[in-house]
This record gives sequence, C-alpha cells and structure tokens, in this order.
Amino acid sequence: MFTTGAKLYLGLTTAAIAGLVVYGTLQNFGALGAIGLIFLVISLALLSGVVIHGRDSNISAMDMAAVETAPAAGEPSLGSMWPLVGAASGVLMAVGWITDQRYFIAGLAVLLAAILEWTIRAWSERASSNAAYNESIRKRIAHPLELPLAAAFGLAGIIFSFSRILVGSSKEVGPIVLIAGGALVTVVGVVVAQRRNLSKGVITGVCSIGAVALLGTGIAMAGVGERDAFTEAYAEKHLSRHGEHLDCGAEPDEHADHKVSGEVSSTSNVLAEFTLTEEGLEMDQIAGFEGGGVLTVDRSNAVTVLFHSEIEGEHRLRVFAGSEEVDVNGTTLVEETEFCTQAIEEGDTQALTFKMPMPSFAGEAGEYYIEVPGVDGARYEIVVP
Amino acid sequence: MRSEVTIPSESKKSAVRRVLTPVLGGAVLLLAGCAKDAPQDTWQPEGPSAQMIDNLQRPVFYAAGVVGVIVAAAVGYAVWKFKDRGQAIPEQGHGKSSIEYGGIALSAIILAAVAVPTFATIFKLNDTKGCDFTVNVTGQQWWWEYSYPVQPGIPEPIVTSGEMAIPAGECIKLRITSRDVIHSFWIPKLNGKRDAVPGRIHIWKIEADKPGIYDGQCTEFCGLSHADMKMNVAALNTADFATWVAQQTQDGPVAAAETAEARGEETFKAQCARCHQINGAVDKDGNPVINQADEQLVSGAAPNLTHLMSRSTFGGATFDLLTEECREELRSASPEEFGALYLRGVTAECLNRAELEEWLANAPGKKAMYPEANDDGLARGMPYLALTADQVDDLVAYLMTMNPSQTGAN
Repeated sequence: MFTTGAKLYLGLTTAAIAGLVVYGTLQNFGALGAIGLIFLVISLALLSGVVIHGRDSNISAMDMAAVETAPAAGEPSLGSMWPLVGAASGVLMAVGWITDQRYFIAGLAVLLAAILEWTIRAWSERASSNAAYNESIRKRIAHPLELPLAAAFGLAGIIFSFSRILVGSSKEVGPIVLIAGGALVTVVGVVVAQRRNLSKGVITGVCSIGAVALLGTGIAMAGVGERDAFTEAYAEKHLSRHGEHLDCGAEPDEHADHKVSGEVSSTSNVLAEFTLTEEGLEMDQIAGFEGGGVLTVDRSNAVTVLFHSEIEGEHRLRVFAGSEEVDVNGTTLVEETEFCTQAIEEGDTQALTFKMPMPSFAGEAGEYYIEVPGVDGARYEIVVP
Repeated sequence: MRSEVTIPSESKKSAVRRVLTPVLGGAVLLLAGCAKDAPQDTWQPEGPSAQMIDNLQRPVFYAAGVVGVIVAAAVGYAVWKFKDRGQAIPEQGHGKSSIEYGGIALSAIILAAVAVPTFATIFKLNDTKGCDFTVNVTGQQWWWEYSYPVQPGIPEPIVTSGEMAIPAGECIKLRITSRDVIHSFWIPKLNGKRDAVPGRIHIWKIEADKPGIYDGQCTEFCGLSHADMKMNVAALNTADFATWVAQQTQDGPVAAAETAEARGEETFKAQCARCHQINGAVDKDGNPVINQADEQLVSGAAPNLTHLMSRSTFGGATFDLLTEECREELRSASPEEFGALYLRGVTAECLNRAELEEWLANAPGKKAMYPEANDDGLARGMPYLALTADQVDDLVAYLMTMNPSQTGAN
C-alpha cells in the first residue's frame, strides 16, 4: 500500500512527467527546460522510492486499522486560501496571455506556488490526529521555502522603493529623504527597545504601516519617473541607458564629468595601463608585454584598460572603434563608435571597459585608436585581428 | 541411489561476495591505470611546469598512499580485534590522550612538510619572467581562440582556434580570458589549469620540451558541450614555427571561377560568413566580407577558418580533420619529423571527409549546442544550415583550399 508521504511524492512525480511531456512536445525534448524536467522526474521518483521504502519513517503507517480509524483519515478541519490564490493567478495568466508575457510568467509562478502550498497543507492536515502537530510539520516543510522567498521579495521591495524614490526626487530632496528615513527607523527602534511592554500587535502594525508606506511611495515615484537631469542626459545623449559616457571630447562635460571618481580597485584586472605625463601618453601592457607600440584587442572581447593622469587639468581616455553609415528615417548618418572615461584630474585613475566590434581590416589602416583628446601625440593604434 | 546436491549456504555466498567485491573493484581501478593511450595523463609531464607539478605530486601521492594503507590497516585491525563475539562491553573511557595528541601532531607535521614545497611550486608556476612570447587565449562556448599579438617573430596578428601552435623549448605566456561564461584552460602534460573569466585576464604559462601535439580539455563546467570543449597545443621547432607564422599571415585563397571550390565559396559567403571569417575574402564589389558573429552568437565570435586545413582538428578540437592513419602518423612522429608532417596540413588523401561532411550537414546533431536564438536573437553554437548534399560537397572542396602549405609559404 502507499503511505501518505508516498502519495504526495508519487503525485508530484506524475505532475513532473506530465509537465515534461507537455513541454517536450511543445518545445523540444533536447531543450534545457526539458532536461531540467527530466532531472526533476528522476529526483522525485527517487524520493518516492525512498519514502515508500522507508514507509514515511513511521512503521505504524503500515497499520491499516490505525490509518482507517485515525482522525487524520477524516476531512480537513481548516479552510484554505490557496484555491482562491490559484484562481487569481489563473486570471493573471489569462490577462498576461493577452497583454504582456511578464504577467503570464508571474501568474504561472504564483499558481505553482499555490499548488505547492495547497499540497503541503492538505498533506499535513492528514498527517495525524493532532492539529497542533500537523501545523508544526507543515511549518517544518514549508518554512524553508516560504521564509527565504518572503525575505527576498521583502528586500526587493525595499530596494525597488528606495531606488525609485531617490531617482525620482531632486538631488536636494534625495539626501533629506534618506536622512529622515534613517532617523525614523532609529527613533522607532529606540522606542521599541525602551518600552518593552509594547504588544506584538502594535509593533507589527507599525512595521506594516511603514512597509506599505514605503512600497506605496516607491510605486508612486515609479509612476512619476526619473528626475529631469537624468532624462535630459539620456535624451541629449550625454549618457547611455547603461550609464556609459557619450561625451568624449577634450573639454569636460557638465553631465558626464560630474563628481568624477578618481580611484579604481587595486584588484582591477586590465589589459594595459595608460599614463598621461608631460612626455605624452605611456602604454604599459600587463606583465611587461611590449606589444610593438600597438594595442592588440581581440574582436568582440570586452577588455579593460586603466587611465592615470599625472598632468594638470582634466583629461579623459577615448577609444575610437570606427564609424558606420546608418539609415535614420531615410537620412544616412555617420555614427561613430567610441568609448571614454570621465575627465579626471591630476593624480586620478579610471578604468575603461570596451569591446571592439569590427576587425581592423574592415576599415582603413590605423583607423582604430586610443587617445587622450586635446593632447598632441597622445595616441596609440588599436589592432583588431 | 540418490545423488546429493550441495547447495552453498547463505553465509558461504556472502563470504564469497565479501571477498570478490573488493578484489574486482580493486582490479578495475588497477586496470584503469594501465591505459596506454592517455593523452591527458598528468603523470607524464612533457614541459618544465608540468614537471614541477609532477615533482610535487608524486611524493605527496606516495606519502598519502602509505598513510592510507596504515589507516586502513588500523581500522581493519580494530574491526577484527573488537568484533562483537558476545563479550561484555568494555569500560567506556575518554581514550588515550597521548594517541590523540600524537595523531594531531603527526598530521600537522606531514601537512607542514607538504605545504612548504606546495607553496614554492605555486609561486614558481606563477612566475612568468623570461616568458617573452605571448598568446591571447579566449574561451567561449564551446571552443578556444588563440590570437598572437604583434611581437618579435609575429609581424602581424594571427588568429586561430582549437589548436595553438607554439615554439618548442620556449616559455609561452598566456593571457587567458573568456567571451561568455567561465571556462578553464588545461593542457595536462604542459602545466596545470587556469580559469578563463569574462572581463578578466589571467596570466599563465606553458612550455613543451619537444615538438609534438599535446591535448587538453576545458575543466570548468561551461554548459551543454563542456565535455566536448577540447584543445590542442602543437609544439614546433623554431624553424618550423617560423614557417607556421608565415603560413598563417597569408590571406585566404580565392577559388577559380566555375569550379566546385567557387560554388563552395559562394555557399560559404551566403551561409557561413555570417559567423566565420576568411581573411582576405571579398564580395562581388570588392569589399571585405566581414562576419557579423556579434549579431548571431552570445559569445560574439566563431572560429576564424582562414587556415582551417593547417589544423588537425575542427569543431572545438572535438573532431579529427585527419583520417585515422594520418592522425596516427602525425601523433607518433618523432620530434624531428613532426614539424614537416604538421606543416603539411590536411591533404586530400588525409582528409577525414566523412566526419567533416557530417558536421556541415548537421552540426548540432554531432555536437550538442543551442543553435536556437534566445530572446536577444543570439545563439550558442553552430546551427543546422539545411545544406544539400551537393552544397556540402562544394563546401568541402572550398574548405580544402584553406591549406596554406598547398597555396603559399612553406
């Protein structure tokens, strides 16, 4: 006969097999998802075998009389919210099917979570005649899944809310929000520490209100969008959406060269170091490699170089990686591919990571180079094999 | 008269099993060590770095073996001596402190003794002073690219894949990185392994004592075809290496019009040139044909095939370009003969045509890859190109022109 635990695992195994058949038929049995499902089937089948062999680690499970007469064999005593959650996720999936794939995936994730929770609850309610014991074993199985996920979602919510509040606020308001938020948390912490007779309900209520306020403000600020300075910098193409500097000229730029960081981690791993001195731009490739006075960079391979300035004024390192004609609404424009550091002051260092998109023979000889704009002779050829 | 059949008792059967299981298990392990064709054997060093590792690992291995035998014997003695024979349980005590402290002290002394040469070897292996020749090594799913930057002996950059040619008897500095996920570069007979990490450049070195081919294997799990991400190092004497450099700096050939090679070239430009590069190839307007691998592949690169037939393997060094006889001839050649044979490249007689045709007809069927584009439109590995048998034949004819020993420098 099958024990209660065996039924659970055999059911999960069957569900995994069904999932594998559906996925493999619709996609491809060699696809990564199918391979994952195959491993899931094997794992669950193994667990099923272990549970059947071990009889739920409970020899009395084989006692038919006990099983038939035990209250555990009766109807579950509690209502469950999981069917409701499952139905709501089904609605979300339907909405996502029509509108946006992300909603569908979110609905699917919630549905799977609801099925898992519902399964664990239903199993635990039949585990014994003792409701408290049943709840304890439900927690023992479910908490290792629930608590890390809840913590992850909680942290994600906090990070999301703070980031939206700070990028949406002006530069003056941002620090005030942070200071006020930190002070509030400190005050609440001090009060809780001082008044130990505060009820658990009051603390939970305050924390819940704070969480809802933070999340609500974050969502509202996400709707407001980023502050004008950012959007202007993107719209006027001073910064890329990934924060790369697009102003690579000789003169410092008000957008790209603001609050420059002049230090780089000593663990940076670079292809070459460039030092700007009164004598010009010196190149030192790693581990003493001379390189014949040119910088060889493999195509489509992200490399990092260091730029250090030892002369007065603000200077940047710029990589010119070619130009190409692009068609923009019927007009042919020449678009340059370039990468650059921020303009740094004497004594500062910055790293520049770039990727050469085309081999050297795609352009004219010496077309690609690395230079310090505005400094005569501060240039090396880049060779891309 | 009734004959009697003796049936072994359960205890006899289990006794037989108890003896046979360890004997057979041990025999399997012992026989596994007898493999003659073991190109990735760490116990057969063929270069100074690998020799350093061998000098360290042998005494440690033997010492560990002695310790293992002593421990196993002690455990066996205890099990046999104190077996439950129905005797009274002896008085339970803490044990003998002298044995405990002695055991700890002995272990500490052995570990300290091993640590001294271990640290010295680690530092020596990382010392690249005197390694004047540099090769950039880049891993990607599931092949290795080698590029030789301009330096003494290399007048212009060279890019090749799968098989790295080096001058024998010279320390080679490797600058190892990756274009996609973490890989690990390992030629067991020449040195230990070093990870290839995207965005980082790790320095390593190899040196081969004598000319020959040395096999290696990616040793960091990197996806579906990790097991088929192999690599070779072909060590050549100084003169042969100079010839190899001269060969590799030639442009690819141009096929004569209205030949199978020309039809293959057209197919190549239409199908293969999206990812693969042939240096010097031009379109009908005379513009260079430049691959767009960065728009096709996650790694942004596919092997440069300009001198494909100067290598002995293809498909991430997984498959042989040479027939079994020619492969054996090359690999068993003496150090003096090796260079000439290697520089000959793949001749028509030596071409492993069946394997190459199978690859061209259905590469993902021959080596597990993810040729379907992801959400960004990028794939991992070579796709199924739906080539006809005639197109495959023409492509093979075109690829056979990629042997620089047949077309130029020698």
